[in-house]
Amino acid sequence: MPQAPPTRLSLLLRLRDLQDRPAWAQFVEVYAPLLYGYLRKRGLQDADAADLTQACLRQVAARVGTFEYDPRRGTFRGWLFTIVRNQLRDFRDRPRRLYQGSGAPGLQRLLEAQAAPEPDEADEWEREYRRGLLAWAAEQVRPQVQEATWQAFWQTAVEGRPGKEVACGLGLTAAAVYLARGRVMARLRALIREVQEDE
Amino acid sequence: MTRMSCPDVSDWQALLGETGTEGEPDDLVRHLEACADCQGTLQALAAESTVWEDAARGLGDGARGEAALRRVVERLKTEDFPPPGDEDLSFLRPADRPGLLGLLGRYEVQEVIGHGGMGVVFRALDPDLNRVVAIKVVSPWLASSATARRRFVREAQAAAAVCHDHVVTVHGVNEADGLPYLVMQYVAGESLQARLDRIGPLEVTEVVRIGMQTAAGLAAAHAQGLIHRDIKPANLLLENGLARVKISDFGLARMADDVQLTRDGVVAGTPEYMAPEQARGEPIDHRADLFSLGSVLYATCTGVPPFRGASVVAVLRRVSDEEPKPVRSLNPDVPAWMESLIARLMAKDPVERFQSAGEVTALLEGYLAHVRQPATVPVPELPATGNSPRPAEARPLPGSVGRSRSRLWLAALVVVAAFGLAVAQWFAGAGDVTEPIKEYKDQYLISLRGTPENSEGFEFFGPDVAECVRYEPAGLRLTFPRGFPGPRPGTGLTIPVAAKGDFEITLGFEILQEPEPADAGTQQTLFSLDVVLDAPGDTVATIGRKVDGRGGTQFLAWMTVWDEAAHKDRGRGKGFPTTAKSGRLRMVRAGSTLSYCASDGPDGEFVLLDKFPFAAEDLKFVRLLGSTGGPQASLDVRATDLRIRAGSLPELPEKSGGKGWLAAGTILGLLILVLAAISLGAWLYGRQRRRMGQAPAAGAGEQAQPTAAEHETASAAISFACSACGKMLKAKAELSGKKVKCPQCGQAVFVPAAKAGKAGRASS
Repeated sequence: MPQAPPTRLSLLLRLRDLQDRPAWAQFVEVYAPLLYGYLRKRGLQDADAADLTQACLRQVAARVGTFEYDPRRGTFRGWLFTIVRNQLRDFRDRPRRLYQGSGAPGLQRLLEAQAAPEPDEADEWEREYRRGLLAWAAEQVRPQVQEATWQAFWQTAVEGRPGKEVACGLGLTAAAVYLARGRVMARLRALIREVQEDE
Repeated sequence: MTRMSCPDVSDWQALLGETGTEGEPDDLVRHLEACADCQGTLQALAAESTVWEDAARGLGDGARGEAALRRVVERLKTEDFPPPGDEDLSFLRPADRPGLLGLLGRYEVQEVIGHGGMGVVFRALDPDLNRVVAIKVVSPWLASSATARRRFVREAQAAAAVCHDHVVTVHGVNEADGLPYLVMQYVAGESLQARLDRIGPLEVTEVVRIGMQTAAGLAAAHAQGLIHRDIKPANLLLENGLARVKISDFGLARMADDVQLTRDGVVAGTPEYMAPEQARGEPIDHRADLFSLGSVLYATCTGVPPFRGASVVAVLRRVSDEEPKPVRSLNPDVPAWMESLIARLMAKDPVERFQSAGEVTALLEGYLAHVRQPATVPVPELPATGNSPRPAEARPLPGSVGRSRSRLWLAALVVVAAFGLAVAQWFAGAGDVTEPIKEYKDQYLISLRGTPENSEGFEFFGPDVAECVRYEPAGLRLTFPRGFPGPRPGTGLTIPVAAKGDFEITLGFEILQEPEPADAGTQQTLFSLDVVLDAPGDTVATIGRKVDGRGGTQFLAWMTVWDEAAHKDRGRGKGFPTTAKSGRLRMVRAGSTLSYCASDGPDGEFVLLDKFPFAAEDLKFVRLLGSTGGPQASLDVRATDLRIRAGSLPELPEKSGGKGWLAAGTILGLLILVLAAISLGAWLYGRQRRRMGQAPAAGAGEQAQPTAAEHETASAAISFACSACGKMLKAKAELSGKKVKCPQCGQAVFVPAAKAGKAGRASS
């Protein structure tokens, strides 16, 4: 397949125009499942994860136009993570904060001080974020390749089985399997570049 | 046979890029089979980093399909999302009178009229010239980018270089507080896109006229060496009343021989109307605008853009590789010459298109003449391709200049007058913020004296409820004796009140204790009684008695608003010096401002204390919450009643003051009414059905219409394209202006007006 077309529209750039419905529709399509998956992994139930996903996306919409998201100061991935963390924290701490009257200022502020993310929290996000993008890309790419090619990719890259074994199972040469795996992955990455600017 | 040494990385790269499994270099493949190093290299090249490989491992556990998630996605796609946006308008100087968003330079900014790729567009008044203008401001977040500023300034120069009836006039470029802004002509009227959305495809005469005017404007731009690059229906404004096209938003325009200002390979803009060479990132010239013009004409004739797709990538691919459906297959009323014209404009190879906008303008003038007098004026011939004169100079429409100028002043006058009326109305309607801004339709009065009659859903909360909160005949009493370890989380009562939009909440209270004297120099909160709104961004309005360091006491009211973005409180206290022991506290939300006021005694006048911007969604709960400032403080207050007014409140289980049997009777009565309404409606519908002879909805379509019906309405059926899916539909003339259901996609679409002498029929 030809490498990514030289012209690509930066989805994240287009998001700044809140009226750009196609861009926003695509954004929801890619990122809603991604966020949902992460929130579920954090232990939220179905309905809660869905609600929080919606809240996060609304936050993105509300803040995409502000100074905060500055590509020079960080990645979209990182910025999205702060939104998710805030939503999660609000969700968890909400009852407690709500019940702090303004007559108890000091403790209140302490409680709300933002803690740095736990190291594994951040790692998990990184992983889930990429997984989510790959999952979306996979949905687009799968119908475009032959089933054998897809299986070659899936069984090696996802299921982690050795190339030779997969080759036997599919009746392909090992080289074909490696090539298939590489090509599918390359396509996935190319597609992902369409919807996010960095890395 | 010697073992081949590992091939170059670039060889693997090339191999990765190919799709086929045929024709791969045998030696590479054989090597791959055996060499684990190269297998690894290939893998690394594809994934580009191990993080992606790791992530791929997790692809198996998907949570994509759950129902709740699907619902959210659907909701977001169909709902008003993203919302038009509470944008950050803090770069405007505050206005000195209501009705304005703010001031920018010398201009009085009235409202936001749109968003461009790089900024916001306002309507504003130039007070010196007393003229309404449009102002485009670079998004503040972009203003720090030198590239963006340059691009913005270029847009200004580009647009200003073109002076033409059919191009939005630029008055000037200024800067305010480091933000550049563009002042241009205000065009009152909707865009072509809005009109297409509203009434569907247009009449051929209209299409020709719009095409001609756009082409004329383009010719003027091209003559200045400018390529617009983003011609689409949304950028063609149709000036009210005069129905004159104005090309706007030269945001992406650049000089033909300019250096690229966008990052390599990244193009912003709408793909649906883009020229193929533009979509491919190749160098373009003025003929790209002609392709876009063709796409616009296509959309105007059929109601849909020529290329559509599920994603941006898909659209780009179609633009580049596919031919659109023929115009006449979507709208048979389009004349053949129009279809040919559009096809010519939309030739993939620029060489095959017209070579200048001037050519197109002249041609369209000829078509217009023909359409107006089909009998006498023949259809102009399309010139043969390949004879390409150099780009023609702009030709203003003959005789239009003088006429249009006076009309322009008339339009401007009308706009100013309308604005003046609006301002006058605003003044008449605006009141003291302590009075409700609007007529509230609904109100609850929740008396807290004694146990409220209808306290379904009321909930006590807090760790000390049993000891500290109780209903008394005189009101809800909250008491924290001194010595409770603290600060403690608050304790109180939750009242479920969901209100939409503007609201007003008033709390009556009494303070039952004396303030404690404090050490000099301290300012200490002794206690507070809060009204908490449960909306994203918890808002807390508080009354408290503060002891200030000078030993006096002040009765303070203050409000804190939770700032989501900064994740902290923004609080402001306002002194309301009084020693009165009872009073009222009020919060009013009007639009996007929350104000709070306080008064002495149950009947005292309200004094406005402060205002906050408040962008929360609707209200869900109100909580009354008491807390103390520390173990030395105590609380003893009584909340007597709570009044909530709003434009719309859902039913509490029983509205305050309603007796059970009365409510039941009302419900029964309502049921009867509803049933009656339904039967009436059904009867009417049945009557209509019998009269029409066929269902008004999905009957339209390409399945054979009963010939009887056809004869009956032969000259009064309207053909039009479904504005959602493009399917050709026919509907009876009586349905013009009404909505019908498209049998293909199920969307409700408007049936456009039928006109006598529709081109296409005129010739038959």
